[in-house]
Amino acid sequence: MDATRITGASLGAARIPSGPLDKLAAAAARVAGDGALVFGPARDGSVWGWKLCEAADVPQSDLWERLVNTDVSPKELFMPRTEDIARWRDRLRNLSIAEPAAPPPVVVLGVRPCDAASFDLLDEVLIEGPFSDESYRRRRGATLLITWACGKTGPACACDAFGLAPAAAAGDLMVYPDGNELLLSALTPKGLEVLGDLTGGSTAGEALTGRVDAVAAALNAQKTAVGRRLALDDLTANAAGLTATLFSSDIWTELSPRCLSCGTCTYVCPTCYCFAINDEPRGGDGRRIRTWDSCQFKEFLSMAGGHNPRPSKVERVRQRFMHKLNYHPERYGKFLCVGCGRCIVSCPVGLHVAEVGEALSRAAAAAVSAAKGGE
Amino acid sequence: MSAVAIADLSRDLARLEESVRARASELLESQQVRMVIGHKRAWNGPLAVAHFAVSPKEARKFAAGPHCTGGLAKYLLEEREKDGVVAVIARGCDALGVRRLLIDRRVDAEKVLVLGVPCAGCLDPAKLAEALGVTPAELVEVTLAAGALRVRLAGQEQAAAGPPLDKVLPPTCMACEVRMPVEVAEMLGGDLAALTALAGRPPAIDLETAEAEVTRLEELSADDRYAYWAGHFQRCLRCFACRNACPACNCRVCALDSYDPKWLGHPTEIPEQFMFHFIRAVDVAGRCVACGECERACPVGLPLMQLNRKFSKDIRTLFGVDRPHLPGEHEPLGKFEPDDPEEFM
Repeated sequence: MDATRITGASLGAARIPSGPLDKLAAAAARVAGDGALVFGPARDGSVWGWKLCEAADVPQSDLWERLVNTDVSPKELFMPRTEDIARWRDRLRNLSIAEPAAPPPVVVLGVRPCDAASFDLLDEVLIEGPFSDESYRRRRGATLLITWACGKTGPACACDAFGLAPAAAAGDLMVYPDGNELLLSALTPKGLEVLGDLTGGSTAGEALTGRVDAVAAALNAQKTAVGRRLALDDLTANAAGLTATLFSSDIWTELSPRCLSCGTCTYVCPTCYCFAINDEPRGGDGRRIRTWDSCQFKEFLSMAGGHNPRPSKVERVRQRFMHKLNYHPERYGKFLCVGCGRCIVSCPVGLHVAEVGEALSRAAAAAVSAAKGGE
Repeated sequence: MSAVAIADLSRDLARLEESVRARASELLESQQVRMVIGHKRAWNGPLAVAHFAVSPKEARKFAAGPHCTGGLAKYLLEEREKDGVVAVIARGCDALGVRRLLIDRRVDAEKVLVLGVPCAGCLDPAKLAEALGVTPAELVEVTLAAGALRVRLAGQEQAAAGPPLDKVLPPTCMACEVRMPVEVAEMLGGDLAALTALAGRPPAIDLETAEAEVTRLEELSADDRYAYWAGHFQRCLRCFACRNACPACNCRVCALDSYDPKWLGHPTEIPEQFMFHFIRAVDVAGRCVACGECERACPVGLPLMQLNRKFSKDIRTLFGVDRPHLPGEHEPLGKFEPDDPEEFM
């Protein structure tokens, strides 16, 4: 696994007291650009999600001591559940088409390292690949990501099983809890600008970046409960060579029966990015919209003419987990999972990436040892 | 219920679990059934998950007890095209779910064997976590001993005494009137005095109390009621877990999936969210078996049973039927009768 995903490289550091974060939020908003919106974790009903913060209700730093992570991932800030591709008006054949306005600059205050890393994974697919997803690219480019290192891990956390760690460096600016203070470390020029704005331009000495490294190393040494049980190295080594074996493994018929074919796992997942495009006409006017879609839905791959290449749960469950644990590693060298643990918590029937990962890893190990035995 | 009987409860549950394993094993061994659906221990966490045994060996994994949440009836829909009998280890709500599928003619009675288990209620991890001041994810293991739960939390080696089971049940279980399942082929476990006595107790929440919450919502002004539901529905991810978990949501083609006609717009914005949840609730009105699976499955905590209870209250008011989902009751909306008094028919 790629160690730079965990350590990163600090461009500069600063120290601020714990407590109110309104100054940090304001500095980040100024750097992000005019009219920047600040989003932070917020409780809605019984569920933690992401809400627009007014200056007065920016959360205090103790929130991140209490909250392991939000129940809903921050991906909807970059991939809204519903977004316009275009709107049209047909005032009696005088057709006009309007594209959506450019997204406003956004500051996301306090994503966890796993979620920040999820955006790096999405960037590779949606921006850096042969096709660039225009809407995602614009939103990502307009965003400043402040990542909050984890002082403790939750029972469903699994970052270390997926090549990450509790304080893996990702986003623009890292925040590390350090006693009664917070250490800030810039990972990008944007992050460095925030530090400059916050400290009035004073640059941090080497002593502070040394402290950042020490604190980060201590936090990264934490092992998660799930990570202690899961060893997935067999899945990344020789991923391409294993595809056919794992595809036809018995584990899919063993694991898939309990699946409800709902979209919970894919919708709470920070790295699932499938979408649907639909026209919503209303009289002569209408909108072409993009919404989330899930490979677990029965109708997901239904084609005109009625053919469905993934007619049963065996194919659909296999698709989701093979994509995360084999196809993506084969193509990009890493899992399409950051171990946030949301599917572990939210799947109504307890079918999640840890259990499937373990079963698949066992199948991979068996295939590898069988191949060795045959040599 | 006496203290002695409560102390016997964990022994009864152990006996029940053994009985489930033995009977399932026997049915599979003799090939009277080709599959038994029940619960087994999960990979992690305190709750069991659905288990599909097709061999006696797999039948040894079956579990029974308050951690066995998650409805089982709906899984029969996926077995309906296949030959052979499928047995279901059924709590009261599962048995009503199977009955729903039979009445709706979605499953053949000859292909189902309902094996009843008495139920003391299924624990609500959110309530248990709240009682212990932790998050649900921190619950590692929960067992029942002498009527009280023993709970092991994340990072702990030993389990500690937790609250009594009846303090951490979801409202649906507290209002359950079928802890002894009805319309089953046989009951498992034999003589389980303590469990049977507990299951035979009247529900902690009676019909009137359950409906008080509905009445409170009815008494809100239209604007306040709209704000209440809009507040909840804006969280909805449109993941369809509520529909997919529901045994009454068993249509061959769901209106919510239909493109032509398109009953439901794709935007996940407030008007469509209302439409989504109203279609779901209206379509199960009078057929809802009150198992609470919709609410349990929801990843964002929508109080969906409030909608279901509103419709059951309306049915009571309009048709004078209290519990249309129970055997022997008249089903005002779920059945066609040639002498229907409705004049426009």
